[in-house]
Amino acid sequence: MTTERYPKLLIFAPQTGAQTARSGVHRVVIEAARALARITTIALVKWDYVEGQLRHFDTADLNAMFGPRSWPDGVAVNRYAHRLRYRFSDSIDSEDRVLICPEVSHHISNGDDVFRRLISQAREYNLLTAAIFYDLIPVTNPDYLLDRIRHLRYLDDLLRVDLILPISYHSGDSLLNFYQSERSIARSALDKVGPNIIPTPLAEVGQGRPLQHRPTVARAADIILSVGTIEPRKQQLRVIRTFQRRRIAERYGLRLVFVGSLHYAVSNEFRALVDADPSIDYHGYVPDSVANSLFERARFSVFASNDEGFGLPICESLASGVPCLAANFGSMAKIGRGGGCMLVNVNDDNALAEGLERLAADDTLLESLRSEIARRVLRTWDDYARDVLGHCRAGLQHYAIPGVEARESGVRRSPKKAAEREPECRVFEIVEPLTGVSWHLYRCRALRRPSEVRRFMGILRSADCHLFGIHFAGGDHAFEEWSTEDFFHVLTADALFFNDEPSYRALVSLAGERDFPGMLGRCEIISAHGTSDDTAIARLRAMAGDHQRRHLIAQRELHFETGGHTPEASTEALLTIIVSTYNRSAFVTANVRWLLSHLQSLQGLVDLIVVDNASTDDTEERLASFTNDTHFRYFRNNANVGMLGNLQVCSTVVSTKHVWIIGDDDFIVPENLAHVVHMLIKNPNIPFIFVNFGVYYRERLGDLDTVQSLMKHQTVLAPSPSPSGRYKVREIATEHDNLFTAVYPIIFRSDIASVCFNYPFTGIPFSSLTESIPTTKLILQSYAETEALWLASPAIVGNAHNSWRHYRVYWHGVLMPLAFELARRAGVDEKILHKWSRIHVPLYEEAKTLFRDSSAEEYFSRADLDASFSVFRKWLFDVRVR
Amino acid sequence: MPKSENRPDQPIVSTMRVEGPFNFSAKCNAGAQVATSDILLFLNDDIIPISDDWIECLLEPFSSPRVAVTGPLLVYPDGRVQHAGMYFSQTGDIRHALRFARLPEQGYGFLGTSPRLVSIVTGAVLAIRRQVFVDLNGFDHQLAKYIQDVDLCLRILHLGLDVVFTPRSVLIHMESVAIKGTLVDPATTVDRGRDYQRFMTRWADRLKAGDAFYNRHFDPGDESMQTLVISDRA
Repeated sequence: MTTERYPKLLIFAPQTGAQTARSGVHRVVIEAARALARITTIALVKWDYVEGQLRHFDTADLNAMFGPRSWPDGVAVNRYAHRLRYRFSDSIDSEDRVLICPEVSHHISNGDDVFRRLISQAREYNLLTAAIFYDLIPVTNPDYLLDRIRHLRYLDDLLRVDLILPISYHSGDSLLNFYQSERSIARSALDKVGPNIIPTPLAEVGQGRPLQHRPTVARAADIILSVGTIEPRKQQLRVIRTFQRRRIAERYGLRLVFVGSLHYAVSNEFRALVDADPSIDYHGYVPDSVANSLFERARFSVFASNDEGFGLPICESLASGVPCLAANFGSMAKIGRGGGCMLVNVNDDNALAEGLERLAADDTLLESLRSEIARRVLRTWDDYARDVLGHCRAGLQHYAIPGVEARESGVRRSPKKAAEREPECRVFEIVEPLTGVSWHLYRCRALRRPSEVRRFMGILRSADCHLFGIHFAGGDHAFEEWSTEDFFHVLTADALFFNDEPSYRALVSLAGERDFPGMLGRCEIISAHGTSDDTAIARLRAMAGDHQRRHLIAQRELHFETGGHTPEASTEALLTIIVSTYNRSAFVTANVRWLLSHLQSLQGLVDLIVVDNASTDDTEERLASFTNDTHFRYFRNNANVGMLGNLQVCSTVVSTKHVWIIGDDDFIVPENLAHVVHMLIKNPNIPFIFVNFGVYYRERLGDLDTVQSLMKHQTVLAPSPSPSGRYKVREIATEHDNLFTAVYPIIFRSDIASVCFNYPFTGIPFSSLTESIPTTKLILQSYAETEALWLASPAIVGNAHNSWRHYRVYWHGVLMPLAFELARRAGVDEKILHKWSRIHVPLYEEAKTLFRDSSAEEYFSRADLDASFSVFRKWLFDVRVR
Repeated sequence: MPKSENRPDQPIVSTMRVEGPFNFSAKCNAGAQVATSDILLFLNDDIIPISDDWIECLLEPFSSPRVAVTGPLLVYPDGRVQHAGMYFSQTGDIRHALRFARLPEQGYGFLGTSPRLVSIVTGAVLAIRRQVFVDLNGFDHQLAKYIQDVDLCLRILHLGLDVVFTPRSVLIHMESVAIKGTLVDPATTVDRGRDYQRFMTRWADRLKAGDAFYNRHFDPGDESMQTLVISDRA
C-alpha cells in the first residue's frame, strides 16, 4: 500500500455508469477507476439534466459500471446521491480536489453543452479539472465525418480544462499540433495558463487479465483473432480480403475470428464477406471471459488499424501472450516496438499479406515473438493510475495560489530601508506564479511616519503588476496627525488590516471627514488580540489567489474564444430568450407577442421560452395560444421556487450556447436583438454580451400601454456610453452604476449562466450577495478580467417597479456596499465606485422611512455591516464597538 | 419558514400553519425541519390506528441499520386491503400490492402477512430515519400533489438502503377522503399529470429494469394480485 498522498478524485463517467455494453473508452474508464480506487479515494459522478449540475452515482450506476458485488474497495454510494435542491459542491468534502473526465463529451446526450457547464461549475467549486484525451480521429479521418463538428467543439471545450492527459505520446503530439496549427495557440501559452497537456500512456495489461506466457505454439492455436470494433480505420475488410487472397485457411488450417461491435459504415460489406466464407467467424460484442478463451485459441492476433490514439487490442493480445500483427507507425508502432509484435505497413496489401503469411507459417518466428512478450515489462493500470494522480498533484501545485510562500521582503533595498526606518515594521512579499504580480504587506505597530509607507508604496507602484496591503498591527496610529497627502496615499492600498476596532473606526471615519475621493480597499479587523501576521498574510494570499484566478480565467476564455470557431450546424439556434414570470399574465402575454412578432425575421436563430413559476392567475391559458409557434416553448414549475430559484430553472432548460434571461416586464428592442445575434455569429464563444438598457415604471400594464410607449419613456442607464465593442468586464462595469445587479441586460454563455444560478436559493432572501444578486457576485468575482462585448445602444427596457422593494433597506444599506467592495477588489475604477456609493445613502434613508421594521443588525453578519461602514464611512446601523 | 406552536393542552403536539397553494411535499418538509427525533412518521389525516402498538411495530425494522423506511398494512373500513406495499411496472405504472384483497384468504404466500422488502410504501403512513430524510432534502417539493412518496422511496432504494412493509402494524385508511373533491377537479388532474411527468423524467429509465421485489408473473394491472401472466414477457 502506497504511503504517498494523492488528491481525491471525482470521476465523471455518465455513459459508463448508464450501460453495460463496453467500448474501448468504457474499458479505460473502468480499469482506470479500479486502479485509482486502489491508490486514492474516488467518487463517480454523472450529469443531472433536471437540476443542471453534477450528481453522485447511485447503486444502479455503480452496478452498471463495475457489476453487482464487484465494486472496488472504498467505493460507496454518497449519502447525497439523491439529494434535491442543493449545490453539488455541498456534497463533496474539501479534500475532493480534482474532477477528471475520462469519457468523450459528445458520447452523451447534449454532451458538449454538459461539458461546458460542468467545467464552468467545477471552476467555481475550486476543483482542478482534468480530461483524458483519446484521439483526433473524428476530425482527421474522413470516415468519421458525422462526428467531426461535435469533436471539434470538444477540442475547443478542452481548452478550458486545467489538465489534458492524452492516452499516448502520439495522441498528445497530434493534439498539440492541432492547437498550434488550427487554433493558433502557442505551446508556451498552454504551458503557462493551461491546459497543461501531459501524455500519459494507458496500461498495456489489465488487472483482471494477468500476463500469460504459453511456452510453445499451442496445440489448439487454430485461429487468427481480430479484436476491436469493426470499422473503417481498423481495416478488417482489408484483412479479410488478404486472408482470402493468400488462402490462409486452406494452406494453414487457420480460421479468422472477429470480435467487436459493428460500425454502420462497413456493416453490409463485412457481413457479406463473413457470410460467404465458412472459415471466418464473427462473434459481435463479447464479455471479457469469452474474449479470454478466444485468445487461448489464437495463434496470433491481427490489428490492422491505421489510425489510433493508443491501440488497446495490441496490449490485450500481448497480455494474453499472443503475438500481434500491427501497424509500423503511430501509437501502434510505439507499443509494438517493445516486443512481441510483427509491425508492417497495414495500408499496403502486400505488406499485410506478407505479415499474415509469415505468422501463419513460421513457427520459429512465432516462438521468438512469444519470447519477446515474456521478456516485456508491461505497463499496468496501477502504473497508469499513479501517473494520473502524480500529474493531478503537480497540476494542483502549478495552479496553487500563490505558488511561493510569503516571506519577509529583503529583495528590494528601498522597501527594506523604509521598513527599517519605521520601528517594528516588517514587509512581506507574495508573488502570483502565473501572472508575476507581486503583493506586499506592510506591517506596522504604531505608524509614526506615514511618509515612509507612502515612499515605499511609491517605489512599488512604479513597478508594473503590484498590489499592496497595510496591516496596522498596533493601536494608537494618530491618523489625524497625518498630512492629507500622506493619508490619502495610504488609503489607496488594496487592503487595510487592523488588530483593533478603534483604529479601524478612526481610519474609516477620517477618510469620510477628509472626503477621500476613492473607494477604500478591503478593510478588515483580523484580530482583537495582539498581532497576527499569519492571519494578515493568509488574507492577502487569498486576495492574490482571487486576483490570479481572475486572470487565469480571462486567459482561458480568450483561448476558448479565439481558438474555437467551430461552425454551428445551420439548423441550430444561437440564442434562447427566456422569460421568467409569475402571476403577471398581462405583461408576459404582451412580451411574448412582442418577441414572436420579431423573431420571424431572425430565421430560426433565436428561440423563446417562458418559465412560469407556478402562476395562479391565467398566465397558462393566455400563453396557450402561442404554443403552435415553432420558436416558442412554455415551461411551468409544479411549485413556486422563488424569484432566484426560477432563474436557476431558466438556466437549466436552455440548450443553445447563449441565453438571455429577462423578466416578464422587460422588453427587448428588436433592432438591437438583431445586433446581438450578429455579435454572436461573429463571436460564438463570447462569455457575455452586456447591453446598455433603460428603465420605465409601471405597477401594472395599463390598457393604453404599448411596448413602444414604454420604450419611449425609458430612462437610459448609460446616457453617454462607450462605443460598442470588446472590453474587459471590469471596464464595462464602469458604464453605469448597476454593477450587473440586473439580470436582463446580460446575455450569458449558457454554461456561465448555469454557474451563476447554481444555488438552491433556499436561504433567507436578500441576506447575502448569493441570495440577492448572484450575477454581480459571479461576474465580478470570477470574470472581471475577462473580455466581453458591450452594446452601447439600449437593447432592453426594464420595469423599475420591482417586487422586492420591501428589502430596499438591506439593498441600499448592506448589499450594494458589499457589491461595491467586491467591485473594488475586482479592479473596477475606485473613484467611480466611490461616486456611485454616495447615491445609496439618501436612498437608504428614504427606504428606512418606508420600511421601518427592517433590522439589518439581525439579518447580516458583523463583517457585512463593517463593509457598509467602510463604503459609506459612517454607521447606518446600530453596531456596538467590540 | 412557518413557525411551529406548541398546543397547551397537548404538550407533545405542536402545530404549524403552511400558507400558499396546497403542496403535500412542502408541508411535510416544513414539519420535518422542526422535528428532532431520530425517526419521522408522516401520517395522513384520514388514518385510524386499530391497535395500541402500531407505532412500536412500525419501528421494529429500524433495528437493522440498512432500513431507512417502513410502512404498515393499510385497510379500508370494510377490511379489504388498501396498501400492502407498492410496486411499479416497467412502463411506469405505480400500484398498491394486494389492493382490494381480503386477508388472509386472498393473500399470496405471506405477501400480506409478513414483513418484507419492497420498493415503495405509501406516504399515507411512512416512517423514515430523519437523517436520511435530511440528507435527501426531503420530499421533492416540485411533486406538489402526487407521487412524492414513490419518488422518495425510489431515491432511498437507489442509495442502497431498504424499504420495509410491515403488516404487524395495521391502520385503516379512508384513502383520499379529504381530497376526494379536488381529485375530480380538472386543474388538479393537470397538476398531477405534471407531477407524474417530472417523476418520469427522473425515473423512466430506471423503471425499465423492473421492480426487484415484485414477481413479474403477476399481472401488473391487477393490484389484488389474483391474476398471473402465463407468457414470459420479460
